[in-house]
Amino acid sequence: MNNKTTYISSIILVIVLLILPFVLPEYPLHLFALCGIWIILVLSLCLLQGYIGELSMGHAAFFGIGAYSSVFMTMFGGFSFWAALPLSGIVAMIFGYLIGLVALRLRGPYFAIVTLGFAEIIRMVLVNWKDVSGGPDGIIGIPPPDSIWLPLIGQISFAGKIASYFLIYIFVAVTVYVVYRIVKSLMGYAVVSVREDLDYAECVGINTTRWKRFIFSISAFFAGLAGSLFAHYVHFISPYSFGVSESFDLVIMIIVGGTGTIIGPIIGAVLLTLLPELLHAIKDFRMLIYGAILVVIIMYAPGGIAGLLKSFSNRYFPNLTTKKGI
Amino acid sequence: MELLKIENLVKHFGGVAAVDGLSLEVRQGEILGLIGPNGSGKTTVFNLIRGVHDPTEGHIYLGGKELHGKKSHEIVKMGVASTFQGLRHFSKISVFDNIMVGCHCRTAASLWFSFWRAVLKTKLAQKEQTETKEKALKLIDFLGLTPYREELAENIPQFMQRRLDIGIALATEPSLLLLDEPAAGLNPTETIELDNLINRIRKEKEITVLLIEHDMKLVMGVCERIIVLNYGKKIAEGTPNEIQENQEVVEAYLGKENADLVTFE
Repeated sequence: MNNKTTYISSIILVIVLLILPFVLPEYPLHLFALCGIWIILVLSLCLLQGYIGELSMGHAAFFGIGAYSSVFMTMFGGFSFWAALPLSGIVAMIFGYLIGLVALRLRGPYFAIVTLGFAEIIRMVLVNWKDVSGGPDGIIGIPPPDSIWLPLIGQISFAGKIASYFLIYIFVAVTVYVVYRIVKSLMGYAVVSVREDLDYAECVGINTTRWKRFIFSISAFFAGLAGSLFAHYVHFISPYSFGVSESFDLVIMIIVGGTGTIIGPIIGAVLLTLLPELLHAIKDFRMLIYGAILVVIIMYAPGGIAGLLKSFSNRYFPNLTTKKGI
Repeated sequence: MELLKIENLVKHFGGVAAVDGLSLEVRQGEILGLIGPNGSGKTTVFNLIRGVHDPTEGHIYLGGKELHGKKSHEIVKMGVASTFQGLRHFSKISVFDNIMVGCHCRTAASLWFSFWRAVLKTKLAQKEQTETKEKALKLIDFLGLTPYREELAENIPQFMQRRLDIGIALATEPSLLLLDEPAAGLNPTETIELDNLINRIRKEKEITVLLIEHDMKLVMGVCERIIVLNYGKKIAEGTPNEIQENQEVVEAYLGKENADLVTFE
């Protein structure tokens, strides 16, 4: 899509997102807020998988690290939520950096396996270290973000759904912006070159190891941020929210939505958060239907939904589209 | 004055000595040909210079600085760019994006610095981006790739892809350009165009060129000096005329018994 259509459609999207909380009943609004958290997560994974080309199969671990460290800081460390939020991102980022030091020496499937193993280690620690993490029972009674005072609006309490919804979507916007800037600035060329041909990128002057480590850290940061938002939004965390199936959900969202784009994973996240609710009636067959959808998409639309949309608009609105590699 | 100096270079692969005690120097501003029969160690020399392999023994100096122990991307930043045998570029992105990747190593060095600049969209970052894009467009024009600018690299004609490979190397602003068989698979007309391009690279961009090539017409036409390798050793060095008359070179290429039949074009 060219600049003008992108601009108009994003304005429409923002207006819809602004109106949504005032027209939706509480439960659907709750779902949309959860969607927002998944969007942050899936974008962080997309930056890693779709742009630098390394797949993390244990991305929920960083989500969990962010959630637990934020809870420790606010409930036991006496931190304000507003300090704990960025700090929990940084904690996840430090973990990401350290794992990256070791794991990013490996490539392709080996990196995926190391991250999978790492996620499992984190989960086992959370389950078994009962004194600190509360074990399988998790931690209950997590306070909502501290209320703040803003000019023009006044005192905002985050106990209600609407304020939390806006808080989450502000961070969705921040994530989209940062990923967009990385991809569209000069950095994007280096990042994509690593995905396209690692050895050759090294021979045209790209320090591929450093770039991979850097992008992995950024990715872990946003996953940690999402974890902090999640913990203080649902007021309860347990190791079961950050397991292998969550990591795989993220991968599925990317594949369904379309990798290597920004809009694709967002579509995937929204679809796969809302779809289970729509399929409530046939709950037992849910995973079966997931599987079928995944197979169909991999076989007939390897570019995911974003790829389908693009070829659709190329065919019917050729004057709206431009040829651009990245 | 020499730009690149190789001293007593040795590279073993298992029991095979691919490069065996090679010494040579590339002078500032010249076009130097590196020829030899298949398997004589030419590409290995290139891989040693660009840091893909580590030498078993010996030293490589670029403008007096040791290259040994440096990583490939550091060597590119020091000013050695290269093309590979066959076609090697990022085939799934556009021609313009390919050149931009080449330009990247001359942009802001520190990663976190460029990250914050990009996120905060500072004036300086925007300016750098515009300047880099202009530089890339100029280079695309120099290579004659303007009509293919927005095409995916894999979709353009083969000769244009070859030019693109050279273009990515040029985008890194090298002082020394290593070309590995740039004429392979080209027809005679294209080879003449390539000859022109190499000459223009030296004249207009003032880049020293080290060329591996099997196309003798191109080598004899474009090079001022030629070095001949056989079994990883230097067997001759001199002007194209001297090389053509060198008996040892002819024997290396064709074997002793056929040596009297040969004429170089």
